[in-house]
Amino acid sequence: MTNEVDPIDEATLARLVRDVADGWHLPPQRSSAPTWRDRIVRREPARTGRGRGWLGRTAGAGALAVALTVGLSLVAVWISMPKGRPGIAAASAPPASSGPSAPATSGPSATAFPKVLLNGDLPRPSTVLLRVGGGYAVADLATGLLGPSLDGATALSDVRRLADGTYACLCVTMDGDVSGSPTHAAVELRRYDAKGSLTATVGIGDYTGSLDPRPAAKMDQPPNVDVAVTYSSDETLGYVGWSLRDGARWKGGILLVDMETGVVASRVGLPDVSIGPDDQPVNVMAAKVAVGADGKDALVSRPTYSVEHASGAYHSGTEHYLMPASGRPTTAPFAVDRSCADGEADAGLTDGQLAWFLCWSSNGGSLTIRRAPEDGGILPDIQVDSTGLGGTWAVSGSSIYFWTPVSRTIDRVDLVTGETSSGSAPAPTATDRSGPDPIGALGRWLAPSASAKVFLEPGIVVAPGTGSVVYALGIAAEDPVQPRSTGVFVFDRRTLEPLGHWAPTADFVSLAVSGDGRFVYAAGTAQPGIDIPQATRGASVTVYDASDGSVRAIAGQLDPGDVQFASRYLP
Amino acid sequence: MDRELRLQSVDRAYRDHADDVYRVAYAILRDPDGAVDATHDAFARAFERWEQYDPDRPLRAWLHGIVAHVALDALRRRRVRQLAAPTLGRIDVARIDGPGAGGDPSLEVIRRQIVDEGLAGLKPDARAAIVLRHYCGYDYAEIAGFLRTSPGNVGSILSRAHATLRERLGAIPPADAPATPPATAREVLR
Repeated sequence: MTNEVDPIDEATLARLVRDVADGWHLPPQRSSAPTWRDRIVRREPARTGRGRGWLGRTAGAGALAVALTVGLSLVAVWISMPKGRPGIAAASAPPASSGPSAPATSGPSATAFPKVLLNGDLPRPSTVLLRVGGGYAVADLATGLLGPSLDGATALSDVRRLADGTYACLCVTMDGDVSGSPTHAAVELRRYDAKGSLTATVGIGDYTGSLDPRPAAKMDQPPNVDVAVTYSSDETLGYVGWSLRDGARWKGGILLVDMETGVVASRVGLPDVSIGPDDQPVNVMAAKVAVGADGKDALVSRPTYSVEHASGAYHSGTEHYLMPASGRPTTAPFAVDRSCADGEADAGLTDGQLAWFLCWSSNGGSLTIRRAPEDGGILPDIQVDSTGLGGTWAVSGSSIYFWTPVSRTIDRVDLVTGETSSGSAPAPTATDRSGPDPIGALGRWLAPSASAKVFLEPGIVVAPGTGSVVYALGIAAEDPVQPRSTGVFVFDRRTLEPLGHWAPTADFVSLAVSGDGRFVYAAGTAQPGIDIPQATRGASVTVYDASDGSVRAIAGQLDPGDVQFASRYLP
Repeated sequence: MDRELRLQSVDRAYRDHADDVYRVAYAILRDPDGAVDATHDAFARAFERWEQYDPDRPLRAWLHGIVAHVALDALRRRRVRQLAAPTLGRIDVARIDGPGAGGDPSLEVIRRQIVDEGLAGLKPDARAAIVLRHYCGYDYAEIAGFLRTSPGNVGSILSRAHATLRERLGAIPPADAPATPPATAREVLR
């Protein structure tokens, strides 16, 4: 049977969605289920018990008992610990600092997780930029405090820490909403001091797009303007990709922003794109820039999509261009016919001018690496099978490392030769958690049996510079409902042999390495304490010494919500 | 703000917005128990962050931002294969006389059922975008903020999701056309 009918417009779809969602109602409260009031009482154990249910009171008492036990045990372990501990060696990392010293701020406390624990000198950097909720904030490891959200650094923005310890944001705001679709975007460079206070604001770009009046374009009310922010590998240059509809053309380009001075160092124009035929309007998103491994050239990726009016079929693709990383205003179409068919997860350049694209499959289950050499030749695609549960990847030089956190499998693909190699780490054992490290003992007492994120952001980091190791976060998923963190796994970058395993102190969801490679930072998500009251805690940051895996610091009560590192490397 | 005043404010917010907050949680999680849990966790976080709320901005949007993060995080705690398992949504048959429902009421019911099932089959971020856009009425920039992506990507996500829903709905004639549900629709309902 064929239907000769007009495609369903957005208004009809919206009505159907509203009708469906209208049928979703908050069910009546079950007496045994904790309400929001029960939860805040558990998070504030020192407060009055007014308003708590019986479950809350019981859980609170249990939490206090466990916390006291842990605190006393920790003190005992702390006192009796042997100073220093052999462990894995990160070949490129300098020696660890002198042995543990007394906590500078506070020792173990009778709470489920410490506000601050220090083991030796304060790690550097001692302040860490984190994504928190819909913005950014700075965590101070010395005090265990999370500062206020950076002013104006919304979720659309991208903040980086500069070498001098201050922060810079390419902050994006959008407005001019027409039928939900923005028509105006403004980009500012905002500077913050080391504590996160705003010190300067510089206007960078201002873009206004026009509506597409054609009937077919109204099917989806696509955005009329778009902005995307990326950075050079040393984060001294910011790239602001922009795209706007201007009558019958999409216009777009890239601004290169000196992050120190706020000066727009260069403006690169990209070719105009037609808005397409009346029955298949084309939409063009802002371009993203990936600087090549040699730092000289960059790959520009500009996604496009369209919807056929008659059939409603969705089509997508990505245009690519090559340009000097310094942004001289010349571009040349590049590798257009080698882009991904179903969507691009990542893209970049090797130092040999080989462009590569990491392509999603339409069913979302696997990834394909597509390569395009500068001479226009064709290299065979490489299928990646290791991106199962929570698969994540990192790029270093001409290699991509894929990490599967549940099976603890690491794969490396040499983008130039196509050669692949693999390694895996054994499952963590109980002994992994029982080392002499006193702060690490928290992992034994307060092993995060609550859930870990399946998606780790980022979940794998290659040691900076000439570092010879790769760090990755593991997940145990033997419990089908609540997988948990299994800590940090360390691999030899060349052989992919497992070098060590560091037990988790929290439910790790994000990983970063200090710019000098000496310290590894793991961010833990907050645990609501509903299922496991004794584990109630805020978000946390744990710092490991890269030379031996010992825990050097914990900030354990940062925020009730989630945190993740803003970038893999912390200068 | 005094703790008792804060409690009263969040109590009032809960009375006024709990159903709406739950809808966003359910759209993302497709699990009633999980959505209830996320709803209460969102209000608990709202209480803890009450000082961060800007009273010049809509409270509903602030709560939706919190619950979107809570629900997406809860979602990430589950195994991926659980997410892929289709969940049959409930349908409120009593609402077939709603706005825009003309012609054969059974077809409108089928269309809603197909949309509900279509939503369940979408990726979580697409489900969230669809409900935040069409039920809650947020613009692309706001949705991008909730989902930590760009407005352009929200447009792409929505267009792809619309295409999926249109494809499923395209198997049956429009609600005001007098026709028998085609085999494909009946199969979906089976």
